[in-house]
Amino acid sequence: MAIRMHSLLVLLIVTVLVTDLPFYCGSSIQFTSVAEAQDPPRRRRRGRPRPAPPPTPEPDKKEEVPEDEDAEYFAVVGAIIHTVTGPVVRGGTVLCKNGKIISIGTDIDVPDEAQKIEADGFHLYPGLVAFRSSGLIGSGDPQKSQDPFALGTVMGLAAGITSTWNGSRVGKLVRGGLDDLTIRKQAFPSITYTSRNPGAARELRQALEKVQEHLRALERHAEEKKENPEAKAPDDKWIRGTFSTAKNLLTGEAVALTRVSTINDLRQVCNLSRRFGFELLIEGAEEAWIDPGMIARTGASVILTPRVRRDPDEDRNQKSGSSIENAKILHEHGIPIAIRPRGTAIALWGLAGRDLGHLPMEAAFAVRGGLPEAAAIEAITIEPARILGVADRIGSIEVGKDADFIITDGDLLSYLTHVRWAVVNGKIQYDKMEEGLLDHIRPGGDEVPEPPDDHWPRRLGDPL
Amino acid sequence: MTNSARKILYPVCTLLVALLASLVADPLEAMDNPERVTVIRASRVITGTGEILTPGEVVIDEGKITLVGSQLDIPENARIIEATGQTLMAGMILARTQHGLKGLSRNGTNCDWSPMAQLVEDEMPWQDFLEAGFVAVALVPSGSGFPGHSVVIFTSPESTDRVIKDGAYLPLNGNSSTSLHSTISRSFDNARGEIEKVDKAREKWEKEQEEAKKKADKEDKKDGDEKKDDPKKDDPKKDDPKEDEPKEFKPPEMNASLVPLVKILQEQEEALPIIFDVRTPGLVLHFDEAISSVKELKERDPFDIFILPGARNGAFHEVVERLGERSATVLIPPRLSSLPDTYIRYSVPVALSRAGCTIISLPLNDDAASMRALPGMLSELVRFGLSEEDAIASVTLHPAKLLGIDDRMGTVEAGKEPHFVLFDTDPLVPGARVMKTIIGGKVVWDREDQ
Repeated sequence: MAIRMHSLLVLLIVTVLVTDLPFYCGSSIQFTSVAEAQDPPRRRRRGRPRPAPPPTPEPDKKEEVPEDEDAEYFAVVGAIIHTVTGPVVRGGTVLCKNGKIISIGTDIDVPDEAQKIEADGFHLYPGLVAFRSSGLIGSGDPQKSQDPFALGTVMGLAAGITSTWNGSRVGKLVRGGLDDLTIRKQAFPSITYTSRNPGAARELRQALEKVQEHLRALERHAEEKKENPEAKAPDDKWIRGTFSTAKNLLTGEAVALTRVSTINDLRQVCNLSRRFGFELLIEGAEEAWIDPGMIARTGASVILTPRVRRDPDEDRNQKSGSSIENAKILHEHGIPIAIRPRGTAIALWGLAGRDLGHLPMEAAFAVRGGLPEAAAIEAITIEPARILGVADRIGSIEVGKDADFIITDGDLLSYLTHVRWAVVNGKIQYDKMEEGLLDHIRPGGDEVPEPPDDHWPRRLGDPL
Repeated sequence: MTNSARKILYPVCTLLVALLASLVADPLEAMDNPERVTVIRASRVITGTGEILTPGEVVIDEGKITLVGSQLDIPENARIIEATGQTLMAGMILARTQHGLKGLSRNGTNCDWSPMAQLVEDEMPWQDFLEAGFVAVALVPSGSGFPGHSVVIFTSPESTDRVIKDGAYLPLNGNSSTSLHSTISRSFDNARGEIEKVDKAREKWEKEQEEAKKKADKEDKKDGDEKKDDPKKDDPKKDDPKEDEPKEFKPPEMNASLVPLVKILQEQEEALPIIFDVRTPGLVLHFDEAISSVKELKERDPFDIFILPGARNGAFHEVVERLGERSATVLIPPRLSSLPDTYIRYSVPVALSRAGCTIISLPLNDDAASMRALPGMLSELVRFGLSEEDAIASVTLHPAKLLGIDDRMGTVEAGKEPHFVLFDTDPLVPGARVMKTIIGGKVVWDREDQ
């Protein structure tokens, strides 16, 4: 019998090792690792990405909360925590200290001095990351241009967005202060390589060829120098403008951002990327569903706008036009996708509903087309964070990451859901019931709202 | 009667009257008071020190207020300005204006510029100021960045000694936060450069002095006798500066436009305060951030004088607490506003005052009509909760303190200069009109003359 037990135990261990099953013990779940969050070098992502490594469970290891007088604690208790990179924790607690998440789990001691949000029944998600925006944070360096009391910031937070890229910087939506606004400087050289502009395409191709030749010459020179220290280095004064961009792409210092829609253009630009071996970020890609394997082989990331419609070209005897399944098909082929709405601002007119105020709705439309919900949420949180190079700080709920999250009164992808609280750097930056923007809409979170007592003129009180 | 005849007759008549008066008056009293005092008799005097006298008299002698009281014994020969039924208060002071100034604005750092360069004496609309009750105004040059310094002047049309204070504060205008950051960092970097320039020159000079001393000592030892003859041989003109030179160090001249900033960096006593014209509440934070990025200013108390806009300023509720914490002085038009995107009435000046700020009232716009409307707008502030004293002080004592002229004006007190304004009723009653404006004890504007 003892031998039998022994062999069973060995069998169990072997099973766990071989199948890579997560092995949980006890009721408390704790995560510590941030290393997986930041992208491994993009080169390795070609083809199907490896499945996300399961979180390393450290059962029974309680986070030691050191005695720290100045520390500012913040805790959300009882929420359904969607960690995005790990499992969903029901009724768990997220504890933050000085703007960083220090522990996540169901069995966490919250220090008495901590600011606490009782969020039973609410959902907690990482703050949404809007790839490309205007008006949510200042232009250029937000540290110098952000209006800390701008309405756009509040509306962005109300939409669940806590970080965004303004074209040159990745910044946070912070109100009433100017501390820690900019996460990092990030710019993507924009390339034009479409059949509609053959001149620009030719120019880019030639620039890449010339710079590639130059880089080879540099390598030869390095070899030569070993034998002959006085060898002359190739001239590089001409590397300016387009050539400089080409050099950055070829050396891997920069990722090319291009906007293409048709399958032909997609093929062209992917071929170019593969030929010269530079990284590619494709915005648009409405017809990518026609040949997803090609994009997967290129290792490109795609920024989709699922609700954009493109009519098929009836003159062509091949598939064309947009498809509701685009995001699903790309996801199935392991292509990293981020989702952004058509408008890059919060619109109060015109594109309302397809603006940044409705980022989750854009992702939900991809779910309608078959994209798994988890992937849709990743496409507006961790994926854009990875593409922007800030996944070590934001994009998921992980120990060690910034305390940037949103607490919603329902499933993020539901049309009924509103953001109840938005937390940035461990501080409540938006509270639906305080702000006066959306507080009159289902104030209790009920699906059938009570009519407000004094709908108009609202609150003609005297604050003084 | 022709004009010229009137001109001749008028002094003659006055002389005659004066002669008669001196004959009639008690000769003894005339001996005691060889110069007549002026007395203003008003129904009410708002002293600005917390007292309201009903009725009240103000005695002026030798260009100073000598006595303020109620039902005083007035010497018979006193010159009396009769203002029965009217309310007297200290002359109003406008803490910032460009009204009537000519010329172009300047951008960049020009702290040495004076608005007097933009002032054309004959074309100044003095009447506009006087009609609104302003006895002194602080002119500021127009432009963005540091356009220059302010100059406080009297508003009387015929004034020989108009300037009260040349250099009261440095206005700073920044439209966008980015330009504000660059203006502040660039200006103070340049000012620091000027300080370093002088320091380097001083070091160099000290080195030279030491070397010269060594040389002189050596020469002294070498030829002690010859030296005695030298001064006689040399041209004395040439010799003098040579002897002067080692005694005093002549610093290289600083860039005049940066000198006021140098004074701020070195914490000199005569350093002028910076007044920042804030367009949006966020700029207050950016201003603090930009100032604290200047290493010399990082540890100092935050700068605390701001100009806020008068219209659509409800958004400033965001920074009321912040400004109150540092007991800021805020120049702001006393106008009612509402919280942004709501119907909630909100008065920024009242909220600021409650938070602990000192309020200085400005006209809504920089024109005659707005200046005339200012007392009426003050009454609105009082209605919203500002104390009457603060409302009056916001156009008299507080601006005087800001401009550093409160030892001369701002209240009706013995020892101060006699600059007053007389209203037909309480100045804080809507519709109150200025009846007389008095500068230096002389009526310079009278509604009855109009």
